[in-house]
Parts: sequence; C-alpha cells; structure tokens
Amino acid sequence: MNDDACRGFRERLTAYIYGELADTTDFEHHLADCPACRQELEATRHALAMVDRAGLDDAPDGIADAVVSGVLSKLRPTPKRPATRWLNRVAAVAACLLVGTIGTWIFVRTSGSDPATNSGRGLGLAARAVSAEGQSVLRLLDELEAEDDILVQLLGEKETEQPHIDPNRDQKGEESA
Amino acid sequence: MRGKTDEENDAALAERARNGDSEALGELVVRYAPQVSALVYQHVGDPEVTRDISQTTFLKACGRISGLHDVQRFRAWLFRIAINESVEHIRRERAQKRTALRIARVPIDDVAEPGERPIDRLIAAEERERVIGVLDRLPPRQRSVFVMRHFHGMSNQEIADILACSTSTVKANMSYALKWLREKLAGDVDHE
Repeated sequence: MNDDACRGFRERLTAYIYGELADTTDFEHHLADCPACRQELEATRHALAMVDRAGLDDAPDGIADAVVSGVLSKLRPTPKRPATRWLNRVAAVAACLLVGTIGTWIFVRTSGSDPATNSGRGLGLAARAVSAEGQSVLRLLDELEAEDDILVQLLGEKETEQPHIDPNRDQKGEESA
Repeated sequence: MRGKTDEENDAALAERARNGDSEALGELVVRYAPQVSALVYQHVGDPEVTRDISQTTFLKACGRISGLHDVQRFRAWLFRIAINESVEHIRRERAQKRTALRIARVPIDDVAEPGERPIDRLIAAEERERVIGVLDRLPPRQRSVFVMRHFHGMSNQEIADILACSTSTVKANMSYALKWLREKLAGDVDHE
C-alpha cells in the first residue's frame, strides 16, 4: 500500500468508473497491488448498482405528459380583457356625453322665443335623454362582458390561475449558467 | 449524451422562443419535459411535487427567456432553474422537519419486475427505500452533482456550467457523493 498511489487512485476513481480515464494502465496496476483500493472500487460499484436498481432513471409514467399539458395550457394567449373593458366603458360614456351636449346645444338654439324658460326645460329633457342613452349603452356593455366571461370559462382561462413569475429571482445566477 | 445537432436545434428553437415565437416555446417544453421531470424527480422524489416543480420550472423559463443571452446554453440555463427549484423545495422540507422520502412509499408492484416472487419484490422495495434514504441525506449540492453525473451522463464541465462553479468543485462534490454512497450502502458487498 502506497499513500501517494492510493491518493492518485481516489482522484481518478470517478473517471475510471464512468469510463473516462484515457489511460487505465497505472490505475489498474495499482489496483492489482492494493487490496484496500480494490475493495473501495468494488464497494463503489456495488453502491452504484444498488442506485441503478432503485429505478430512478426517469420520472414515473405520465408525469412528463402532465407537465407538458399543464404548461401549454397556461401558455395559451389570454385576452387582455380588463384594460379593454374599461376603455370601452369610458369611450361609450364620453360618446354619450358628447352627443348629449351637442343635442342640448342644438335644442336650446332652435327652441321657442323665450330662451330663459325653454333652455331650462330643454336642458332637463336633454339630461334625461343622455342619462337613458348612457344606461342603455352600459347595459349593452355588461351583456357583452357576460358573454365574454362565459367564453373565457369555456376556454378554461381563469386569470387567477396565472402563475406568479418573479423575474428578478435567481436571474443573475441563471444567466451566468 | 447529446449530439451537436440537438444542441443546434435547441439553440435555434431557443432563439425563436426568445423572439416571442410561442410555437418554438411549446416545442422546447415538449422536448425537455422528460429530462426536466426526471431531474426534478431524482431530487425531490415525490411524483406530485415533481409535476408541480417541473411546471414551475418551465413557466419561469418561459417568463424569462427574453433575457437569455446565450441560446447555445439553453439546456444548462433550464436545468439550473429546475435544480434551484428542487433544492429550494428540499431545503424548505428539511426546515420543516419533513423528509422528502415519499418516493419510498410507492407500491411494491411498481418496483418489481413482472413475474418476480413476492419475497423478491419485498427485497427490491426495501433496497430501493434504503437507496433513496441514503440519497436523500446527501447535501443538496452533492446530490445535484451526483444526479447530473450518474443519471444524465453530464461531464464535469457541463455540471460546472449549470451550477456556476468550477470543475474542481464538481469533482470534489462527486467524490464526496460516491464516498457517502459507498459507506452507507457498502454493507451488502459481501453478499454479492
């Protein structure tokens, strides 16, 4: 038994076991002379054979498929609903106000000879008309959104299920990999 | 081991995915799901946890791929995310005093070969449980090195790339892992 030779053996043991040692002559020569290192090699091979028999080569059947379907279902494009909804609402209300204002102005300008009386009554009528029109538009938008929700549910795209992805975590380390 | 063509295809897909091509992203998920699932399973052991961590790995990768600088290293980058997630899970489990040994609770029928005698199945299941218990007590970094080297046939350099460390560190971790396995499992040497 030679301490230096045994140290050299241990340094090259992994490469030898995995068939990556270019020249095995010295290694095997030492093995022939050193029972302790021979036993170490035998014990290592035995342990690795036990690991191989444990059947850990792959994940259990079906896991990879489940991963694929789970990931792909979450990667499907999701309609950007909230922003569009509010934009639609604001645009509709703004349009109603614009139409109402123009209508009021025209009504006041073209109504009877007593501007003071008629303009007050005209403003009230116009305001009611604008309000009714606005309510109709909002009801219509609500109905459209309800239909949108049903479609989204059918597609299984619930926003609450979207994963939280923290872009900063481990970024540095992963980029350097 | 992987060939140059695979890497080139992966790089081309990763390049497309980085530029927002969802079809390429989907292809990468399909291509790597078996490897990532196996890698995670070899770390955490539990099928359900494996599925969750693998999905999280891919979703994180998809969310960050626009920031991937070197598409040639997509695989190393993806594996690193998977290992980080797995090791984080192991540490959390250990911190909560719960071991990750649920892998050992699989039915015996799933372990034994068809036609084996019940006693052989029992022995196989016990051996499997013992191996997993020994692996589970390896420090996470050494376990990662051993898993990548032994099960995935990666070189020291590839592992060093993934773990962002030197090849000397990889070699030292692998030697320690083999020593650990040898010491904990060598009691049966004389039986062979």
